[in-house]
Amino acid sequence: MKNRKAPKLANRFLAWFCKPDLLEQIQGDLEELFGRSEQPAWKRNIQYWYQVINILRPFAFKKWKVFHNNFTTLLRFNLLVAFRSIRKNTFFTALNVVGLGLGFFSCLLILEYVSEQFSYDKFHPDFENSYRITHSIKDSDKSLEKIATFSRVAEELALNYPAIDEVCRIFPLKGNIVVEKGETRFLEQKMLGVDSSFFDLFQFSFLHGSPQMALKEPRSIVITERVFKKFFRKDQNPIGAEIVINGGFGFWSPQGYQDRLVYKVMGVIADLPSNTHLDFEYLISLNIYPDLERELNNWGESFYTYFKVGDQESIETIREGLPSIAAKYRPNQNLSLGIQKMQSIHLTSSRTGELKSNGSEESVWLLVAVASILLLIAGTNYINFATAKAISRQKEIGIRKIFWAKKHQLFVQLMTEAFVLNALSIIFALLLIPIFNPLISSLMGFNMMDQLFSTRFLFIGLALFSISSLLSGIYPAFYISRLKATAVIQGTANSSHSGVGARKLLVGFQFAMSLLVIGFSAILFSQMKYVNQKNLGMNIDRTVVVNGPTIGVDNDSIFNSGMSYFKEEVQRLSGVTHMTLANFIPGKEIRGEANGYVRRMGTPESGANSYSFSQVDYQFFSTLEIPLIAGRSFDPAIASDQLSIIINKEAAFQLGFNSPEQAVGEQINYRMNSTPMIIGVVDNFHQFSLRSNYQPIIFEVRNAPDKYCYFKVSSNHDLAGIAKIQDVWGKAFPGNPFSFFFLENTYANQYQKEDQFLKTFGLFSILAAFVAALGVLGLAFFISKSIQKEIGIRKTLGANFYNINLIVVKRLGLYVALACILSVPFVYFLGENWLNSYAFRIDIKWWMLAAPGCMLILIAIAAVSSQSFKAYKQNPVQSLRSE
Amino acid sequence: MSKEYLGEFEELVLLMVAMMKDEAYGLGICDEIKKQAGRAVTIGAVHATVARLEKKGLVETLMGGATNERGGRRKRIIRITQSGKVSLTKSRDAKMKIWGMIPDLAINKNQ
Repeated sequence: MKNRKAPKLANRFLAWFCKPDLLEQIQGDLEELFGRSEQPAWKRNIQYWYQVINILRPFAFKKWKVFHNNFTTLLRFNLLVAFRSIRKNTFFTALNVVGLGLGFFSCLLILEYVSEQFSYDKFHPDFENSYRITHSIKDSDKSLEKIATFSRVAEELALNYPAIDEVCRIFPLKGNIVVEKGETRFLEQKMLGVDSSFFDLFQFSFLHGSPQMALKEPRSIVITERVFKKFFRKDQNPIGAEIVINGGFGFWSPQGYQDRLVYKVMGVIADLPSNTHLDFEYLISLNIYPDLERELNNWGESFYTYFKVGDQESIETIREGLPSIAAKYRPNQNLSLGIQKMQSIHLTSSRTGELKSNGSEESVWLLVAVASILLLIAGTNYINFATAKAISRQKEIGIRKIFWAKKHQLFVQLMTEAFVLNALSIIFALLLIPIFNPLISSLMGFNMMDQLFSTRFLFIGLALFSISSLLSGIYPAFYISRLKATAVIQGTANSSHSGVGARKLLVGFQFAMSLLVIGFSAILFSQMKYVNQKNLGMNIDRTVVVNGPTIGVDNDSIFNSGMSYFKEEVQRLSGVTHMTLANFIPGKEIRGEANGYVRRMGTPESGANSYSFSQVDYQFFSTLEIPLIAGRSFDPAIASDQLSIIINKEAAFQLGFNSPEQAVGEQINYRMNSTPMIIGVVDNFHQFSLRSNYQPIIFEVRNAPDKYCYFKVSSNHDLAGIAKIQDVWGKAFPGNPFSFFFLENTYANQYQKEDQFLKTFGLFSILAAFVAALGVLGLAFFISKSIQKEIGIRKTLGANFYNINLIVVKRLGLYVALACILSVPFVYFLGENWLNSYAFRIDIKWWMLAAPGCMLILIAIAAVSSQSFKAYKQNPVQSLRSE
Repeated sequence: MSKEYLGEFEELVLLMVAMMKDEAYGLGICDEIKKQAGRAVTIGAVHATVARLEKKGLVETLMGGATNERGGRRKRIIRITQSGKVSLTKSRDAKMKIWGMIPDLAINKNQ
């Protein structure tokens, strides 16, 4: 007989998975086969393994249950107990699930929102090494924070700092730009002029063309998908196609002023993701004609300058070199050039000229705070309920403690209860998400359903669940497992006093937190109401604005004749009461100069003043009802008015006049060596949202300023009237796209972000208060139950509802009231902080703090009364009967 | 898996069992299949099939003799039942009928 052993490991493996009934016959066969094999040893073993692996079929597997004996049984037992206790206390469980569920729901939302907000601009490669230049001018008492700087900065950076890999200038094109391809024309505004290094700094996905070639040639243009769909069919290759841009950018040539330029499409990129601070639909290369570079250096502060370094250390060198650049080109100003990281732009930068309104880190953290508070309150509820319930589960727990030798087993069982409850809550929260998705999208600007299955979301959910289960389970588990078993069974563990102090404290804490968020919300809402109602200093109701024409109006006389025709015809339409023209609108930035040149004649230059210049026609101030407070308005009969200016009150103040009256008749140094005279002063109006101060504005008059035509219409819904205006427009300015908007709406858009924030914060605050109220409800329930006997006795002795209610109220009431009072200073502090970001704000009145406090206290009393009423109703005979 | 119809491998194993009379056991069936049909099959495949056949009621099994080569372990002897015989005949008859209908490949013709 050959002396050979079958591979031991294979046999052990087989014995592990194979059913014992089959094991014998199979092993017998294997051994027989192995024994008679003529093959060399290694081949035999392999064949043996091959046969064993082939036994791995369903018919041979052991029954699953047999696998994990001890662990799973214990787990199932604990789960069973947990479910039973949940069913027995449905009321408390429901309160817990709703409370924790709401807490999870808001945390999930907020955390998702936070990670979205923090993800801005991080999809560009090397974003950590990308920076933007900031341009700040500081004078004795004012400072100007801008981003646009002059072109030479980019040049200096590129030439003198080898550590810099790429530099890119971005020049936002202003005005009404008409984009033309063949017969199709659109009015567009989101256009940026960029250097060819743009795609080295910013990464976007290309649908046609490539980043390397997109901006290399002169007169290239890159468009987004949305634009592509407007001008091309889906299957067309746009590369090389010609597009004409009218307006936005122009230059003087021997043939006259050229602002109708032909560009070649060299790339199409996918629509911009929402998480970037950039906002554009078109990119044109700044390489428009050969001598342009030299021109650009004369343009003043119009360029956003971005750059990328190879390594972090060189940033310091660059920062140190900036002052010399500032001194070289702007020696007479207190200019300080700075650097900001590209990834922080969205959350921290809100300088003049941002491409789109950025978020704020402050609001993000505030939302995190309110969501955490909600969750905290819900968790506290759970702890309170669990410890309170413990008393009523005395017998059950006592018996368990006696039967189980190990103390920690009870602990484990209670932790399991916590886990099960948290699991139910998180399922509840997940169910809430699809239901409230539309509301959430409009408030927070992203769609939860997309994120639902992303790893990030699952990770957050799991983390929340685990942390919450652990934290909410630990204290009750400790507390309960420490109760002495015998005392508990006999019922002598005095329910009313053990742990009650801690519970009251926790309730007080919940109420303090609720008051904090509700009080703060009240302040926010009051401020918003103030903002909505404040007199803007101008009347922008029922005002339709039409963007001015760009095509076919290069010649001033053509423009003027077209415009006077337009004006005449429109004013004949019924429904149009006033009409005026201006080159700016309230709510959008006005062109201005900030190099200190503008000043009262005879005074020295100073840097930090920035005045906005605008051109209006003779009817402007009367149409918008802006009051004149000194001097007179522009008069068409007086020819010299075309060389004079009107300023607003803020400008008068900044120019150094002691009163508006003093300014009338004075002259100032203006641009291009002109020194116009001030003929009148108008009152301030809120050019921007109430967050900003009044802007100092200087007005010139023209017969027909271009850019915007304002019409006062009879009502905001007069679409038929607008259609008539469109007809006249078509006749007056053929070939120009007609585009209009309601001034009120565009102006109100400035508040969109804070409106959303307010609503979100307010919503969560109300939820938090609601959950806190649930807590009070639960505790009141418990308290009334536990003093049932006392109530019974008092009732027989003649107490009425009021007396009994008072008892319960007193137990909880004191803590609640104290908590509310203690949180008042915090609310005040936070409120002040927030309000300071507004140039125009309300004062915090006492009722803003008192009203929410009283409301919460009333809610608490109502909750408590409802429970004590139930207890009161009970027949004393029932409650006093001994068990 | 229909209760009534035999799979291809099931039929093969069942045939072997019928052929080997009282000598059919796991490894034996493997060897016979190798010898008669030229197919190399694993022990696992055979045992799985036998379990299925047993479940369908086409075979019955009982423990048999132990030998030294098997390290003293007993074999499981497999015997065909009446319903197993019936299902084999049914399958054969059905196939024969269809074979007969193919003119070029009629059984009568010798290759």
